[in-house]
Amino acid sequence: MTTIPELVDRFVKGDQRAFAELIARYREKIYSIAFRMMGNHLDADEVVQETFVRVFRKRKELTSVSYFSTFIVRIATNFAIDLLRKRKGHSSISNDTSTLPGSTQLDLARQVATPQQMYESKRLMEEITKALDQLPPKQRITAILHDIEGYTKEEIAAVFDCPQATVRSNLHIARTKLKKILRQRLRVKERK
Amino acid sequence: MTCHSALALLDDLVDNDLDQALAGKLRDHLDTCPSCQSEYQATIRLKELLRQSKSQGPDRNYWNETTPLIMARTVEAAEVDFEETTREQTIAAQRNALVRSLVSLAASVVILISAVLIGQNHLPQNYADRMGSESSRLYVVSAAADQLSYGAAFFAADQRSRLARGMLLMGPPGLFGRFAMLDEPPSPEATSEKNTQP
Repeated sequence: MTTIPELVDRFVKGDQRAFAELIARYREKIYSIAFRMMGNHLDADEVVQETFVRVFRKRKELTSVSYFSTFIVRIATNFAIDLLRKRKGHSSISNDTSTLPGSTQLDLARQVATPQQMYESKRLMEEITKALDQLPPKQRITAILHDIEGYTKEEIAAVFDCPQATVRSNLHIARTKLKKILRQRLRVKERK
Repeated sequence: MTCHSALALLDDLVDNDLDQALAGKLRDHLDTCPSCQSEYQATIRLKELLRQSKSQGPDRNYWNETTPLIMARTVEAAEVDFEETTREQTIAAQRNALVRSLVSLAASVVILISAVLIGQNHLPQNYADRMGSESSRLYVVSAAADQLSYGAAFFAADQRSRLARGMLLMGPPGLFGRFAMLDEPPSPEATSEKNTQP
């Protein structure tokens, strides 16, 4: 299997198939981040498309980039944050899951054993999305990248080109706010 | 360890980012502080909840539609831009070549006329006599003729004479090429001997 550095090298030299392969390898991750940031499929779709368009236009910069993963996530998150700022920080959360592609709804149905579990699963997703929507963009994306997508603090610091201490601070504040918002679900006793 | 310090380190403990010694001290504190222990458990549950909420993402049909859209906005758009740019560059290059040729032609004509006008007034008389009596052929070597290795243009006799007076040894490069005298001009000694003879 071709490694990412090899694909990136071919892509920079103009290989269209290498670019198509990079899209195939990163599209799920970018969609997942975008959906969590924006709260609905339509905006996530816009973020995904625009991310790859910008990656293509900035391909000359890739010669000085150590990690393509960091590069593409940075582009995606920056665009998503800009889009959120245009909407004054709030995503358009769609409680109606019919905005999701029909087959995704089928996937959700197939994964859970009972309608009750399916209902709970959808409720959880909506609650988490609403909770994340109450965070400022930087804290929101930090929580998404670290606790949902599994990025390390070091990787997140590379994405935002900031010290790890800043990532730690944003993550701590995000978790504190989320614990307060979701205290019912977490059954958290408020500190006095 | 105080509660304030413990709470500041809780996230790192949950993420396994603490060294063993510090983690040990923190766990000792958590064992003795129900409040901090409760906060620790809540952080673990929150992290697990977020991990469970990871979306499945759209299926293959979505990507079958979206990927061609991305390619159309990127690679295919770049190919169209490249073709248009190449065509524009070719047209510009052809236009520049034509302009250069016209400028070169105009410069050649100006220099030619200037040479004739200057030559009429400045050629020494004995040399002018020699040029009038001997057949000197003046070749106008065009750049094209050089390459094709055939033919040369001859001027009329009176034109040759005037050009020779101009002593134009090097014409401008370009369409008209160079002007050259095939016969050698008289040596200065021969000229002065002739002048001193009674």
